[in-house]
Amino acid sequence: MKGFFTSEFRLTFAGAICAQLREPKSIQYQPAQQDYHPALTNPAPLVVIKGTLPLYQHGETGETMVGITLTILSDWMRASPIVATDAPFLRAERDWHVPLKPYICHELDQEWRWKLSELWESGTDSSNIIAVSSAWCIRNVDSLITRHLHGYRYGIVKWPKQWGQWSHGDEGVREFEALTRKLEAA
Amino acid sequence: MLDTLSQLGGAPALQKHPIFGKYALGELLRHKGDGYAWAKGIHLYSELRPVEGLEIAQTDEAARTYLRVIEEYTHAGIAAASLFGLELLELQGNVLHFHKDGDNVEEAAIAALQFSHIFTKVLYETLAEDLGDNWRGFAICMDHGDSIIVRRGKASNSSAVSLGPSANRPAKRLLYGKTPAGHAEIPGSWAASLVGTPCRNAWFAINLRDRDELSILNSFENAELESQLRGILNTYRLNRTLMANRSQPVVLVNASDLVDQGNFSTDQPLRMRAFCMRVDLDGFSSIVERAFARGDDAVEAIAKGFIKILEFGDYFEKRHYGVVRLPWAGDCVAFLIPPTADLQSFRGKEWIQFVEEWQTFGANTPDGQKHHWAAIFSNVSWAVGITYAGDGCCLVAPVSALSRKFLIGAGAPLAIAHDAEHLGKGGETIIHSTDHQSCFPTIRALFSKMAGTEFWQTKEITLKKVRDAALEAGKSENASKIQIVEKAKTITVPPPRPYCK
Repeated sequence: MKGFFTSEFRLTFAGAICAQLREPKSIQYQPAQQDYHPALTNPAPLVVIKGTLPLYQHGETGETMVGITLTILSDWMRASPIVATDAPFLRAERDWHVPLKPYICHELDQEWRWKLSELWESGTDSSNIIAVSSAWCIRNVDSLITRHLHGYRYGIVKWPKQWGQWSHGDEGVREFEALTRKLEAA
Repeated sequence: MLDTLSQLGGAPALQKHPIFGKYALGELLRHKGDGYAWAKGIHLYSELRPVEGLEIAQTDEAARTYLRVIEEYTHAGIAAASLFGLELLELQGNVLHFHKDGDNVEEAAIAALQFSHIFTKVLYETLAEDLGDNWRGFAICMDHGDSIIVRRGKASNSSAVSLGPSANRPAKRLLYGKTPAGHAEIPGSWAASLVGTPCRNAWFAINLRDRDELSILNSFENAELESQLRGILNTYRLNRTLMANRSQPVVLVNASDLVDQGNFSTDQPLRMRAFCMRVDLDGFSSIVERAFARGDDAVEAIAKGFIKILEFGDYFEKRHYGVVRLPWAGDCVAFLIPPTADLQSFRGKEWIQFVEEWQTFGANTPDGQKHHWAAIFSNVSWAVGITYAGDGCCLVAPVSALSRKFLIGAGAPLAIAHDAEHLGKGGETIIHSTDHQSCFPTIRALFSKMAGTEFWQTKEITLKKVRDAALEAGKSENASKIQIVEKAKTITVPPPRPYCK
């Protein structure tokens, strides 16, 4: 059932994300494979959303807008969307979660997977799962881009300790697992 | 050593000038160098009411009209002052500031009122007729007492700055628009002896244009001096007409077009786009007042200290590209600051560095650390009003009169910065709603609205404070919460914590 929901409601999830963006915006299918034969067997494995995101996090009031592209994978409940932005103030540094411009690492997949599984297991209404996951994704993308904006505006060149983040690599995954163990124990 | 060499004919003849000294007022104004005078007498301000509202700097035509009026007004003021034995201390925008020496209040006040009456009478007949609808008249306000008059610089354009309550009170009264045009205001305590009308209020307004209302005005008549003033004005107008064909356009320039010439950033009238930052040294008047009670040494210490403040003002002007400093008005001064970065980021944040540098007396600059401007006076701080006022259009022009040259500024940024500064106390920065709206959101949150006004206020703003506010706002817990209620159960998601492999 979860597999059915994941595959058949992917466009609904994409539509919910797209609804939070401003014009100009679009949703399109994009083949993951450039080769002819694999593309024929699985013609639309990726859903790509393009649009304008007004920044509202961390005190911003929507005056600054950036272009973003979100690529939604077929197993979107296990892996958060891949996000790229055209924000000119992006600091292309791993410590700022931009290892390769213009892609931004806005979420830990394990955390995304864990929360959506929890919602699914608890019998949450499917429309609420879509609403929560799309809002969560956009909020996190907005948050990371806004932090880059503030870094640029206010001369913050090193990711501040007080701004939450997961450590890089396996260490970040271990931190997350420790947190979930703590939550489960509680 | 030099004297000996000179006697031997081996060294150039040197003219000896004291580095800093005390002078009589008249001598100070003609002396080319740093010095001060401890003067007792009347400070008289005459404010020309705006001729084109706040649109003075918007067009060439409006700017030219304004300049024509202000030049004629200044020439008339200087001519009248010399006829009546007053000294012109300064031209501050559209305000002429005179001083009449005299220990005796009544004698000095009668002379000042006689001057006010004839000056008003002649100008209301000549300038008003000439300007028609553009004429809004002018108002006069005066007070008597001790003051320190400080002068710095050798150029003809160096400021003569008056310090003390007798200079401060009438300036504030007049500049806040309390005195009606065509009137002279005197302290209420003078009214009984001067005009025979007891007055319990702080100020008493005399309508200089209505002799029926106040018969004492008849005693201020002086046909000979009046005729001389008319003659001087007619000659000036004749010369001005001959010069009119040579007048230059008042063009709008960019900051990059400004060329530093002497102390002024320009020797021609020009229109420019700039922020106006007006600053006022809060707590200084009481220091000056105490110095009068303590005598010569204390007064000289104040004068020497204030020279350093003037030095800081000059340093600030020269340090920042394209900045124009207007003449000091007591312990207040206004700067025109052309935006150097792109306008959006300048209005968003960059202006703060100017406020911070001024309010800390340049403490974070190498020169500030060397000169210790911040340590000159204790318990004083700057109130700042700063604005771009929509489009930042200002008019800057040098006005030459006799042997002196005055720099004037006009336009909406100056008027609004003045109102803003007036609302602020030491350490505060006041901005207009339009400027608040143009600030970056993090900075906006540092200001609070001043009730009943269009202004916003904050205390001791610095770029570090702004950065700290951004760091606080950027915390994960300060991102918006996502909550959905389903069957009495609240669904939440974790705060944003980005992750990168």
